[in-house]
Amino acid sequence: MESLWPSLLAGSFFIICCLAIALFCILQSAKTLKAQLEKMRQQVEYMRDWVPDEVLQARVRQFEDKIKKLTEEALYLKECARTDQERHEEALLAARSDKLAEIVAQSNEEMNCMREKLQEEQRALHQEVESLIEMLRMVERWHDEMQPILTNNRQLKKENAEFSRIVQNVIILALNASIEAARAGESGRGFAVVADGVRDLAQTSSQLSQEFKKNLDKNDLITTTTFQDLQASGNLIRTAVFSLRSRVDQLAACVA
Amino acid sequence: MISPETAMAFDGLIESALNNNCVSPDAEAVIVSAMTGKPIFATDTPLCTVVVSISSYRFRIVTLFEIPTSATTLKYFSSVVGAGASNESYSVDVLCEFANRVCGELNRMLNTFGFMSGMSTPYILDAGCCDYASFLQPSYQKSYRVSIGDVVSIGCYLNVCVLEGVDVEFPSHYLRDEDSVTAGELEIF
Repeated sequence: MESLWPSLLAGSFFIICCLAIALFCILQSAKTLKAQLEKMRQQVEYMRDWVPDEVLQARVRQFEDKIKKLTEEALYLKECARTDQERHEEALLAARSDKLAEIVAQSNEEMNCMREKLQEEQRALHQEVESLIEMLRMVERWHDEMQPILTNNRQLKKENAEFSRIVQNVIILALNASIEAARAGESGRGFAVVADGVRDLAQTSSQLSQEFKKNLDKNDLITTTTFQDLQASGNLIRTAVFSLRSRVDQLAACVA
Repeated sequence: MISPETAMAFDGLIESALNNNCVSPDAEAVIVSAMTGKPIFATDTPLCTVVVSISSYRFRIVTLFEIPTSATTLKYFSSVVGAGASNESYSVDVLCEFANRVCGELNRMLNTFGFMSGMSTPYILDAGCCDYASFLQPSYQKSYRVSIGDVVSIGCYLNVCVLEGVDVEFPSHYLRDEDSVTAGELEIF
């Protein structure tokens, strides 16, 4: 423990010396700062003496006047600029308006021209439709004209049926005549030949009648279906034509 | 000219029209079966033929209905068309009305598919007339036997006559395929 005392004394002395040096430096700095402040104060005093307040105020007023004038000029210029722009825009609008009026006039002229053409076309279409209606009437006339053919065909069938009935009777009669001729013996031989001839003719007539009936059936089918074709086509054409006429009328209403 | 697909479409339309218009309120099942060639009925069966034509710009359809004139058949079709009392002119009217309904539906469907078509009024012909349908020079022919229950059956002959050198085609999306043919239904229905 006794051996530490010299070291402790030496350390304390060193610290005291350091603190003394630091205090000295601070004092020197404060002295220098004070001198600088004094110098600055003197300069301020000098400046105040050199530029009086009146001069400063006058300068300030001058500056304010100038600023005021400049502001007014700026406003004036701005106003002028705005007016010029408006005038320019008005001129442009007027030009556009004139152009539009010109286009409208031209369009009106074209539209009138087109309307006249459309009216002309509509009149032509109307005439075409009327022609089609006339054609339709023609088809209807053909249809009507076929009716007597059908009626006549039926009449022919009836007559053929009657003819067939008569022929069958003739065949029976011829057969009876042949039987009677055979009964008469030698004297009836000539009559038997006539009866056989009549029977042959009647049988041929019967075959012809049957063939005729078949032809009449065939004719009936072909004529009836042709008649129906005309009728159905007439209906088809009527629907198409009247639809067309309705559209033409609508077109006329739009054009008018 | 008629392609096989178009022929099938026509088949589908007439089958559908027959199915829809042969059913009476107290309906029995309607069976429409395709037949090959004549005759559908025995030669001694008393028959009446009703013919209706549908015309379009490119083709015409002649539909022949062969209907037995028996009391049972007339009674059935009277109930189909909703008719009343019975006499000779009434029978003709009933059969014509039935044919008119079938072909009317066919005509409407054709118009739906874009074929402009018009229809005639029905006409009564002798039964023998059906034998000469080939003289109409049809491009496509088909015969059907329509059976309703066990007692009523009629024949129907479809004849599609197309102008020479002209094609008749249904819009492709209306054509039915093979499966629906066997099922007896059109895709569109």
